[in-house]
Amino acid sequence: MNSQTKFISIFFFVILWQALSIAINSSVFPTVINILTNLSNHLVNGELIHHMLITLQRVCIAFFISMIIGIFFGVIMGLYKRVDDMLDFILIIGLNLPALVTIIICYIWFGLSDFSALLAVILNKVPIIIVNIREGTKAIESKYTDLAKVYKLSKKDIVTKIYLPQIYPYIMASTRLSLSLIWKIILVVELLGRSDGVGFQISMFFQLFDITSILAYSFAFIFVIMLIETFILKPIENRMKRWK
Amino acid sequence: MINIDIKDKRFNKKDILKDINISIKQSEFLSIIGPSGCGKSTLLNIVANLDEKYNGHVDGDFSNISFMFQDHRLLPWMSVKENLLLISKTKDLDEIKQLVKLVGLDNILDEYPNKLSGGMARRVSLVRAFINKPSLILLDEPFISLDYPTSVSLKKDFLNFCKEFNPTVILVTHDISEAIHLSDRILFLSKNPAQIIYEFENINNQEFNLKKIDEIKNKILENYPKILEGEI
Repeated sequence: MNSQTKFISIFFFVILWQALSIAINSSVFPTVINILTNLSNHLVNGELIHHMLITLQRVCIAFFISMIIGIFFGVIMGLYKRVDDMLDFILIIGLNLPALVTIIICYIWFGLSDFSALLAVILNKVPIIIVNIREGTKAIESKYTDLAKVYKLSKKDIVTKIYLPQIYPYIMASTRLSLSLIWKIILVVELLGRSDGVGFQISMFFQLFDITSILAYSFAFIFVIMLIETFILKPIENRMKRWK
Repeated sequence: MINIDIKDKRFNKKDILKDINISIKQSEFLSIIGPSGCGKSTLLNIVANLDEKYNGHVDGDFSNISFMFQDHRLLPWMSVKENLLLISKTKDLDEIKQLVKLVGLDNILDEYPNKLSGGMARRVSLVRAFINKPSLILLDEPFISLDYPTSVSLKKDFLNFCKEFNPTVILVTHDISEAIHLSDRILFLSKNPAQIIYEFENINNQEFNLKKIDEIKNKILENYPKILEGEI
């Protein structure tokens, strides 16, 4: 989608929302102007920035730890069938355990702390990353590994120049997937057991039935994630894909 | 000197290779001919240590070997320069530029393999095969699926490099003319299991003379007409 088409689609979405909100005329369906005014108020009083930075910090910590653990175990399980067979059962449990159950168990076992919150998110997201990376590792073409063996490449070269470029599309897919899932779960974790962050604020607004603030916070956060996608993930992907 | 002594190599409870005993002198160019699927590539993989599940042993100096596969096998995510630098032990870019020029390529170092024609990519893989001045080169039908003129000129470049660096070469192919053109000695393999059934030596041709190649080919067929039965 080029930028002009993108702009037109956003423009129509805004117009549609505004028209619907005027037509419905209800306090639970605020107009775009109301949401923007509310957003600017939260920005001016500094509340939104404060809570968003806290949530972003949690997202970053959970994301990086999940990715490191997920890539490590994904590669190991993809390379060694024995390890794969051994851990596959735990992986299936991890994949099917509802996020809500993990969060509640962590809060009960380790108390209402940041540690429990992050642990719950990491435990919930690591299995998905492992599955993605494991499949990527299994898809490594043995013909390039043969080449590395014949020319006696160093282990470092084999990992960085033979394995990683082949796993990288799976790493990028996992990055996108986990980023989008982690920030949503962080909000749930904050809603259930933290006293700060966007999730906590949303729970407060829910109790006050303040739908305008809920939407203002949500759109602000979506905007931040889109910025990360556009200015960090997309350039990395373009750089890695340049040979295609 | 390389000694290959394979008692047997089995796959799915069937013998693929059986009682293969080959000695190759230093700087000798040996071709191995056999019908499709007879186990020629398996034999080459054993020599390259890519296949370790067999009974027997392979002795020789394998510290500096190279392999030209049926495909060019350049890493698609790396430029030509990066591909060559990855393999080069000296990492000398000037030397790489010189070798690339010798095979008639210029200004392609920054290109990615998918931007090269089949012939150009094979030339780059030829440069890669000689970049470390190997003592042994293994060739698994590297000249197939190329148009005739490209194949002829690539073989010429290959022989020029051989004259300069003097490696021992083992080529597996199903093309008798190609084997006669390039090698000093030819071994013929049977199928199910692969065994050496005929040997033709002292060819010492190494020039592209169709008449001479045909003469030698006829001589081989006269001496051992069964080769035709083996669909070689």
